[in-house]
Amino acid sequence: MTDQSLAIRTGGVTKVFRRSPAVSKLKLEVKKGTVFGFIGPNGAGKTTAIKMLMGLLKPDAGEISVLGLDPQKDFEELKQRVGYVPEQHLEYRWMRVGELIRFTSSFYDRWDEQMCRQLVQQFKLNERDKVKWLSKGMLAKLSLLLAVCHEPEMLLLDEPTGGLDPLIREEFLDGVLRTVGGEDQTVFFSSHTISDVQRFADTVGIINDGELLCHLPVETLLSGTKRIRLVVESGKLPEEAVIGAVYCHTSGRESLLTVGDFGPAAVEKLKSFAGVKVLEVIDMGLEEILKDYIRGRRQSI
Amino acid sequence: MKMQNVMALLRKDMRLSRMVFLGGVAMWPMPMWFTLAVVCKLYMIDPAASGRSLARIAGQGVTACMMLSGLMVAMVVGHLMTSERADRSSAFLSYLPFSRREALVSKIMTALALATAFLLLNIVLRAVVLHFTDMGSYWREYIIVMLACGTLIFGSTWLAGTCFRSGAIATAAGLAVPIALWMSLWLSHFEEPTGLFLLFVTWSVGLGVFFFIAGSTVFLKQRPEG
Repeated sequence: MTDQSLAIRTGGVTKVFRRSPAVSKLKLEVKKGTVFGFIGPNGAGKTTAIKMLMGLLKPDAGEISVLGLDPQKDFEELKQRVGYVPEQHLEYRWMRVGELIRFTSSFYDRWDEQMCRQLVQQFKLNERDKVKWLSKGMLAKLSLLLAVCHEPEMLLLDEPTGGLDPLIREEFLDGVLRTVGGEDQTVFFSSHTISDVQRFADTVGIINDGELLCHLPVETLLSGTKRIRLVVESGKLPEEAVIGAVYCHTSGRESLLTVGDFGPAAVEKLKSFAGVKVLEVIDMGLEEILKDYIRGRRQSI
Repeated sequence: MKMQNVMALLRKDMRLSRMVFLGGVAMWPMPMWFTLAVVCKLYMIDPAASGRSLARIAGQGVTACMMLSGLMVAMVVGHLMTSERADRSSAFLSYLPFSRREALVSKIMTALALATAFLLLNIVLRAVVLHFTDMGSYWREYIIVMLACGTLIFGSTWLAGTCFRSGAIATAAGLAVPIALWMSLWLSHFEEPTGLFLLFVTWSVGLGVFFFIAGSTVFLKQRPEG
């Protein structure tokens, strides 16, 4: 993949807080015009990684390129070209909505006034309201408005729907889809709501304890990751059968083996072990895949 | 540096400091009102009292106003430098495309404008009172001390404001440093107090400018909080 076709490219990015690595040797490539979903448990390193992409944190090691720019050196240009919706909405609470919009717009070279007015109406924001009067959902929508009206080439959303009720979450995500319609516009978002990621993302990255466990197109991940139910006569699955598996859970003579590279060959390989009988191949949703990747990682540790 | 960015930040900083400034302006003449009340009471008791002696009493009120304006400058500068970090709205600012230099210029312009406003209020008040008293000969000294002390208060609050998140700590530092300087100079020249005034003025201006430069350097080096 060439640099021009990539919106994000990181290599060996590491960030350590108090001797504990928040992000460890992160290698990511996100194509322009795609929606990338970043998932993982709390404290996995998602926010730290996003802050480094945005130039808000300096990596201790590794290289980052966002839209061909170095977030540490070209942070002003980067912020002109990237829209960012953080997890916590820390806008000036004493400002009125209209005042905050005008304040924010004055820093950008481009500002789509028409889109801004449309979004104010769609999100039912009252420009005379003070920011401190807004509910969490309204604040999230205001944050989105401020992040998209300068027509960014990329949107970085850090758990933007966290704590929102399903209705507001839906409205928010609809807003994202409506405003980011361009072919070259990239969306990078982290979320705990796996159904949202499954619905919107083209590619997904699973991160745990600062390490990227998997980085695949959603379709490939869903079609390639299966849970295989096995019966093992001896009660213990041969070690060779577990090599390369995502996660293995044994209960009595029955084992559940999650594999990330499912295909006829994988089943044949399992059948070839003496005393192993394949009972069932189970399709998995993204949420189960995420859980098994994390369980498997913890199991290997 | 984009002027458009500086102007937007300047408007925000002025708005941010508005309430503290107005509160300061409302509090600042209180010693004067109190002194005028005392003067009126004295006049009612003894109508034969000379206007000049009453004006001298009023002059003490002006001095108290001057001291209070030092506190006001420290409060305004402390609030300006710390409030965004205290309520974490500085994180929001860090997502916007402007440089630390633009932010610094805006802070300096706002702080200087508000401190100058306090200075002018003091000068006007002092001029009015001096007009009615025979203390005209102290006029120059008064301005010099006020400028020197103001510089030190401004500089030390500025530096403390860039290092701490708490406005109270920054304000306290702004007030404590001039007092500490005066005390140390006074104690070291206890036997020979001649030249103390000039020494205090020189040290105040020198330290004030040094603290201001140090604070500005710290501000520029600080990472925007994300």
